[in-house]
Amino acid sequence: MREAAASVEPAPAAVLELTNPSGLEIEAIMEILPHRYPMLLVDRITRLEPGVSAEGLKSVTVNEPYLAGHFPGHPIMPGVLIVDALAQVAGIMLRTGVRAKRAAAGQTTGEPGRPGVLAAIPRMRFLHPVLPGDQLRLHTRHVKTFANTHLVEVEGRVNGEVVAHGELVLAS
Amino acid sequence: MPVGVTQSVDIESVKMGLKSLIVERLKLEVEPASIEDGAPLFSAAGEAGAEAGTGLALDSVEALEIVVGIEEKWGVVIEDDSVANEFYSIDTLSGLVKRLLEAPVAEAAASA
Repeated sequence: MREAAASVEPAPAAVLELTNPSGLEIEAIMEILPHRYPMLLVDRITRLEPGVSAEGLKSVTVNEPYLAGHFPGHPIMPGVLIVDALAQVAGIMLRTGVRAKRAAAGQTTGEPGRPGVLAAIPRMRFLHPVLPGDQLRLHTRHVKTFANTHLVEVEGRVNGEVVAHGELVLAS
Repeated sequence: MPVGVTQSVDIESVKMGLKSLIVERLKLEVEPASIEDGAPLFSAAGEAGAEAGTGLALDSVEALEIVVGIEEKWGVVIEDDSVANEFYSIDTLSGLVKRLLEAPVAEAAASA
């Protein structure tokens, strides 16, 4: 199946990476997500079960552009960007799930999987500030899909401590 | 075919449960009893606002919320898409819930 896809599709690198259990490097992430600087908020996928769950990393540095103003002399990663980082990992989980389903069905052509637009934030809590030097571990778990909307449970951790958790709805 | 134990479900209590579930989970400012059994609950895709006044014109995010609410309230599993055409009115939704409740073994086996 992979061989066949490689010979037909011009850019199959991300599809090949999906079978790698050790995760996705940034190049593969950028083939799946359309996000770019300064809004690409996941550096690496460390664990991926397409369509089911994923875990990603976001390393926060003082050079993040938004920290210049949030806040001057007192940099804290904005909560909404933690939400978007979580949504991006969820987007990778869902998109690779669509691709995996297609691959299982023997489909090697067609539109790439596109679920990923944030449609609702039913619940979100922020427990601790995320600071420069922190490595944010982004966990997502698919809960339910219905009619092109996807409910996802999300959690952010720093050094094992939960800094944010909640639920997001992404739409296709 | 469903075999073994089935329980009879009162369709009227399911309808009332659905109406209060929808109003509570979606924080609607209407009386549950004011929702008509046959009125369309959702706005058609791409026609937001169309036919406003008759139904609640709920969207797909709210449909997902109702799915999760039904699963929690009645302990059933709603498979994606297989029942999408039953997401139309209180009448059709209550029929779906009643069917899932009365044949849990058969539904579970069919979806496995």
